[in-house]
Amino acid sequence: MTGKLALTLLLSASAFFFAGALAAEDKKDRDTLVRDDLSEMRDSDLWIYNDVEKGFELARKTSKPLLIVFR
Amino acid sequence: MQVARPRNLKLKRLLKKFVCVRVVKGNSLNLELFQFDYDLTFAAFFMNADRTIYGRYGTRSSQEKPESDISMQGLLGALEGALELHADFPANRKSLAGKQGGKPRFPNPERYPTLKRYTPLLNYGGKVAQSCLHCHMINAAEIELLRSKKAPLPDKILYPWPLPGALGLQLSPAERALVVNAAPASAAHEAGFRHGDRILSLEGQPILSTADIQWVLHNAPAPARLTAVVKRAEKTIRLKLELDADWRKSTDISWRGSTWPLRRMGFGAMRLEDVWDGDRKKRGLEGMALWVRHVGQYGIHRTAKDAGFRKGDIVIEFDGIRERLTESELLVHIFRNRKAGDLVPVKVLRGKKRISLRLPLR
Repeated sequence: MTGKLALTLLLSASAFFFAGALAAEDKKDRDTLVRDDLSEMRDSDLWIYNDVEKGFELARKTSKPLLIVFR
Repeated sequence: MQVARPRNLKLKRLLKKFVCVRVVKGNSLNLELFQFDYDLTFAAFFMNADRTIYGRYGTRSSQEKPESDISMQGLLGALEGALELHADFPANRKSLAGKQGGKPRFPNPERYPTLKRYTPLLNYGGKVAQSCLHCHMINAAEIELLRSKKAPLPDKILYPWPLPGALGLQLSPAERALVVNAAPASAAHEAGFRHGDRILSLEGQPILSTADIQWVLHNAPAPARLTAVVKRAEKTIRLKLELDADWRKSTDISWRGSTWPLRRMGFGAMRLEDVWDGDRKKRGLEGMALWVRHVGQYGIHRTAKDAGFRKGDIVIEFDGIRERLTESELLVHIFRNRKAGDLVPVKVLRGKKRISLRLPLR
């Protein structure tokens, strides 16, 4: 998969901020998409969801840098 | 989603070296810390735990092709660069100081008068999508506030986050700040940029991405003199960019969500689009020729409709101007030279008929 294609997928699969993505998943309304996104991300062992301060705290403890994505 | 649920193995490996945070709302956003192009649909920060910013990622130049300005390869390169800066921290702290923004008007978006209805948390139990404050609303709120105070809109607001193209620089979206072209006779060409140069720093700030260059440009005055350091073959070369008073002028703002309030106030909620060359020839049009592509219909969005404009009209003269301008250039003319309440004379072509109208500015 090329980088451009990968990023196209990235941009087209988000629940927020991008109306085109909503059209692609027109069977679900916006509220359902947002709730589904939260449910899925809650179980992520990689991502902290909507809690920047928690991220800073963990970065302090682990000495890792932060990647903060607004999407 | 490829970043939140990575399949790319290199991305997976790199993300494990970071504490990853995903933010899907502009509600309660710390506006002092997180200053980025709020019209983007994807933006990223690379940071230290002490809140030092290593860099930004995320660029967009059009409505239709958001993927043409960014790429997975470009993001991977920026992540690697951020890890290098992290390894050198805090020895490089001084060079990173400029990446931090100044004090904003408000600490968070909900303080803007037009965004007061939003609360810090999303309403997951109710209409959650409606409770989300979208980032592009922040720029729009700033524009609305300045206009309501009858304050002039500064170039930084009218032309936010200029692309390197404003200097004549074309960068590869797949590489870390790699110059693909410096347009002849442009500021970049005059400064000596060449195809293949890798921009290491601009104004002393290490560059991980096009967004990092945009950050420097966003905060640059007009006129400006900027210093870039590039790597060419094995040499490190210092270049001086001389930018004139109107260097931001070629910036296209038509794709931005935050341009809609400008259209509402300056065009009576019309969207205009330059008639393309082939069509101009066919219709015998020279100079200004802007299609009316959209006319607002309801409430505060029906000013142009009430003034007599129709979708499909072609604007051939606006406020006495007949020269060829883009929609962006015409908007800037209005906000630099006209105030709310002014009545602007406009001439349009409707079929073969020339019609004179008067458009009130908001």
